[in-house]
Amino acid sequence: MGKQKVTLTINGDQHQGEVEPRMLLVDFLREVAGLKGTHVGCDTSNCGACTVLMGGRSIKSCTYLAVSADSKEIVTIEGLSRNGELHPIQEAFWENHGLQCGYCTPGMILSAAHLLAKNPNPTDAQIRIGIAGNVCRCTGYQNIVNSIQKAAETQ
Amino acid sequence: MTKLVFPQEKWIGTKVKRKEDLRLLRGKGQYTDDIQVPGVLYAGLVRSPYAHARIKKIDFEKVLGIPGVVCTLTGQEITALTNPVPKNLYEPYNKIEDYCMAVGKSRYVGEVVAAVVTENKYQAEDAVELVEVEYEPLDPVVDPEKAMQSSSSLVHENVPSNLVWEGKYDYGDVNGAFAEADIVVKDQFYFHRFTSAPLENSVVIADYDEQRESFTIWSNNQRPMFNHRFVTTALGIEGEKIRYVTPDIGGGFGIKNDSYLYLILLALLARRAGRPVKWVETRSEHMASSLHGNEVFYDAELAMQKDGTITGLKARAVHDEGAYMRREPIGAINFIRHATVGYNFKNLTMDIRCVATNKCPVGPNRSYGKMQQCFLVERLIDIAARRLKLDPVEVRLKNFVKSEQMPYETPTGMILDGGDYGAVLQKAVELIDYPKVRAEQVEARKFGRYIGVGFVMGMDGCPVNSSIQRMMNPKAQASGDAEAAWVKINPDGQIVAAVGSSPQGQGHETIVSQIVADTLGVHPDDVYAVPGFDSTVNPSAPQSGTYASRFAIVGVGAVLGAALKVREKALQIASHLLGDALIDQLELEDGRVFLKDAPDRGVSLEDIARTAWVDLAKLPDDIEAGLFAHFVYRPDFKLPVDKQRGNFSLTYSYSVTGAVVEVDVETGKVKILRLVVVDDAGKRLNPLIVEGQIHGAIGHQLGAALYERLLYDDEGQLITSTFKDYAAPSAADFPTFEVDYVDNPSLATPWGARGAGEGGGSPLIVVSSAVSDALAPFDVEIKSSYIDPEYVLKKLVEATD
Amino acid sequence: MYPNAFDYFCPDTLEDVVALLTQHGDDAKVLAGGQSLIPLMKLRLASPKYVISLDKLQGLSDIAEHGGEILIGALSCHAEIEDSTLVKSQLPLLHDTVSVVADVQVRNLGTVAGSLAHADPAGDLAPALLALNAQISTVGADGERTMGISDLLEDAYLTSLKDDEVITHIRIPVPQKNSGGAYIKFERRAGDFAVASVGVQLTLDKGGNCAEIAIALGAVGVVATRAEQAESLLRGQPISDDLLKEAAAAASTESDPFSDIRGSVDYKRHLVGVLLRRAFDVAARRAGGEVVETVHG
Repeated sequence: MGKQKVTLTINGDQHQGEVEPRMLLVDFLREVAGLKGTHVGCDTSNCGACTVLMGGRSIKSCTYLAVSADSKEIVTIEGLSRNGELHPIQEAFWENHGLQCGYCTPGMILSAAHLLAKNPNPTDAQIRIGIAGNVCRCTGYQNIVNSIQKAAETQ
Repeated sequence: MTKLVFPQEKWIGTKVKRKEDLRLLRGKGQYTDDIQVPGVLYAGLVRSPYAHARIKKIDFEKVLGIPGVVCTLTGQEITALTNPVPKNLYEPYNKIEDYCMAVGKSRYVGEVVAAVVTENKYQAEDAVELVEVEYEPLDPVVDPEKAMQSSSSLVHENVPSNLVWEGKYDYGDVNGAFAEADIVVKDQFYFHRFTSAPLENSVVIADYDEQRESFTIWSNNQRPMFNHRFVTTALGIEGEKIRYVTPDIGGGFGIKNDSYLYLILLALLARRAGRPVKWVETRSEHMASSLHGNEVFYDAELAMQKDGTITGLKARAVHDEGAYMRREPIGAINFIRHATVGYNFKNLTMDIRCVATNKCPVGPNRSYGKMQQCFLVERLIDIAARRLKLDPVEVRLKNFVKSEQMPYETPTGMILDGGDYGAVLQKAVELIDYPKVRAEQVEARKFGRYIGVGFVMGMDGCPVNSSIQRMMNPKAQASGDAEAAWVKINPDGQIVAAVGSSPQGQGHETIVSQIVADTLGVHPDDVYAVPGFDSTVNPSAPQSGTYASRFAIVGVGAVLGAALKVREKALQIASHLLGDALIDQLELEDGRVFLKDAPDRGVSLEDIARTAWVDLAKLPDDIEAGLFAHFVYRPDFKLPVDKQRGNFSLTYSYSVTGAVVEVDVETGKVKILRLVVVDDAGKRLNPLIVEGQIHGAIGHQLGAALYERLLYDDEGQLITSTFKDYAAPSAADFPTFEVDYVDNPSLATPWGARGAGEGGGSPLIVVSSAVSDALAPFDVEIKSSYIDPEYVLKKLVEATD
Repeated sequence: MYPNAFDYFCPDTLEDVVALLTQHGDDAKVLAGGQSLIPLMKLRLASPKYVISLDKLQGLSDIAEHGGEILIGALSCHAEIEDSTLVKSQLPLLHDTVSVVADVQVRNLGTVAGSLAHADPAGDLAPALLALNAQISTVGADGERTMGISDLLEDAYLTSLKDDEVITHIRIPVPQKNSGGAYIKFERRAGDFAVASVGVQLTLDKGGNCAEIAIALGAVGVVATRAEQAESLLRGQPISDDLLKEAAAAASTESDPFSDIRGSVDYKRHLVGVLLRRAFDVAARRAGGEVVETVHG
């Protein structure tokens, strides 16, 4: 059967590609669309570094096929800030030192975006459960939780 | 030499928001895998499924038929192409051969035995699957104690034993101390194997320029210049033939110190392929074969007087080193920097044994070799205190080195650089509200609930005085530590700084900007700190890199030194431009030099810089053109005092962690109710960043105590080879941490900072302390650093049987 | 890590799905949410030659009450079930379960039917649905059929689904009045596979006795099983601590765990007893009308 033609809407822009069915969505984002902000940290769908929004819901783009994403709407970290302005969640991460190496940050922020869209006023425990699919190895999560809490307050 | 003092501290010591964040938050950071080198190929690595096996045959026949395959490489070819990486061990163990691939036999599961280079990364995995390797399995060496026996098979057959390094150390009068002691507690302890596993796996891209016979190596190695000598020795080339680039790095924690073998391997592949080659480590590869933390088996005794005075320590430490000694035995010897932690006892012996086994090599992992020693001492103190029915907090206060004794020389020769250990412990005690918790504990037990509280100290010497290498090999010719930086003001007034560190999230761009801002009287936003590291741009020393919490000392020293030289020169030029005004009459503020007495008479840094670079005739006669300074800083490190003593760090960072836990005695599950860290990093250069580092150390070390363990079975198979099995905790697994400070400037650095952020293991050790306290009614003492529910339940069952 | 190469189909109708499955037999795999299948394919533990996506099928993601049953479309993802007020009010046991399956992102894609069909011995859905006496409806070349969960699960990672069959619905009887249920999972860390898990669904009679009970055990055998001896000890009996302890001991004995990274045989058996008592307590209180949050281990 070979390659298949797909068209994805990523951050509002259409991206076409002819891809092997086995290509993972994360590789489409990084290598076809050239959006390197989505990262890979594991092989087993545990770390969440590859988290993006699809149809408004957070998913792990390393555990999804690019062909399955055909004609779907994806938002990556690059699509979150508008007109160069930081999104309130990004702003809160900056203010509250919610990142160190930055590798988990895009996925973490998109998980936070999904969480706050569903629950605009989460408790500390709800935030922690809401980002339980995202592993950070630098921060011990404390400032990430603080950042999301602060973002909720300012949104 | 320029006196390294900040002219002002307007920005240093303040919570400047991080510069790095603006790109990282937008997904615009650049990690090694993000770099797209034109024409790049991908390497797939064939790895040993056996812990110990002879490699009989490697067959590429099936591979060569599939699309995209460019070239292959095997361990057999490696010996002709490279030299082994030099080993800093005594004879004959320095003859152990360590190449970038297994040669002749594989010595751990995951060791690289062959490589295939393909056009794309999916093909690389397809090809790896098709390589047929014929192995002859050998007896795996998995138990370090058995490995030392003469009946054991050898991991390395060209040396006589698996006991590849041994050191016996004796301080004071240990026998006398034990003879006079009122009690001796004696037990076995285990410090488990885990890894701080950075979220970004290793990535290397190499390119070979045939015309210049030189390489470019992009990687996320956290100290390429430190490892440079290994790479050049292996490749047999001269120093300037390699350009290293490390862009943003997705966490390191020591694990990325020793990825240098992949730098060598990718250089070989690029040269063979004639095109750039990229290798992206998978998580499984990372878990099996990057680097593990030191795993130690202790037999130990502590002698104590009835009043709680510690008199002596005896320990035999067996390190399960894995298959190769790479940075080791430094981690094993690191006991020496924290042998007595913060306590004032004088008598101890340590018998250190490093044993080769068929497992992944161990090496630097946040609080490398330090948390192990702190764990041992802290556990013994708690056990002795309980035996004597003394309060463990009181016992610690009694034995601490006192602040008025500072600087204090420990029996192993460390010069403790100030601090107030008692005050830090007492602050933690207050924050936890110790008497209240004790009362709650009594009350809870009536209802069958088991609450426990513990306070432990962690100590972390930083940076490393490389003369510690003389402990592992008396012939080693290294001492001290150095880092390099340059600072310049361009003709357009732009201020630029670069340093030799390759940070992994420590915010060096921000701190460099703070340093330069205070030195040159500008705003941190006016300073461009070069991101990442590129050996053709950044200056470096052979020790350069970000490891051992060294930046707050050597990195800061280097940048400050360079910035001060630029300042001095700017003032000289300004003095000349202002009609030979006396330099001590000049002020530098807001990017402008002016006369103190007549502030309206001045000249901007931009004008000074332009003059220095392009309006050269206006310069004073005796001054070099340009406004640029390079500075290589070295702290005041000495050679060892004797064969077993020396000051191997400059600053001794320390913290006390207090924790309240509840143990579910039905399941063994431990819940952290409170976790308080009181830290003394001395002067905190950027309190925001220091706090983040402390949180990070808590994350790793609490994670290690409760969740993270690298486990091998009896055949040497790694059971925890993915993030599915290796339980890296999430936010939902952690409590909210409480962090506070007692600031006692370091007496050893002019700016008072200590290296921060490794924690000395106190957040890990405190769990064993508090859980033991919770289970005191059952007379349970925790003797393992890894405390999963099943272990706790087993201890309870043993105690109640 | 990347899957082996395969051909991909995304048919519009169930008939086409069945036709493709019939054509390709066990060379084909059905892709629903993919949260079990894709990780296996990436690790190359599964290498289907044909992947048939259910993504375009309509009408298989509703959750509704119908004729004394709660019908859950096979493509409902865990998050949809977690958010369902019907499930929360009628099937608190299932709500407990889906809220501890992996993590948010996985729950946003992973489906209840996919989880069942994957038949991981430590999966959460099988014990939960077993305790709820659920049935599944399937469609295949030979038409539709309905079966119980215990008939579906044959062995670790093995079900009685034929190569040409797909699950279309989960059917759960609406619990009687005075019923309550709870699912408790003991996990090493949040979102991990269970070390052991227990689901208890019970009905109290007017005297407060345990009129009817179903107990299912997860992660302590190659497939999820009912703890029948424990059930029969409790069924029709007044609730007492001693009886509960006896039932817990029986369930421990009935369980047949294997030793792995998550725990030894003895430890898992021990957990079964503890979790049974805890799940029973929550279920009984819920049956009595209390609003109780489950505390997972």
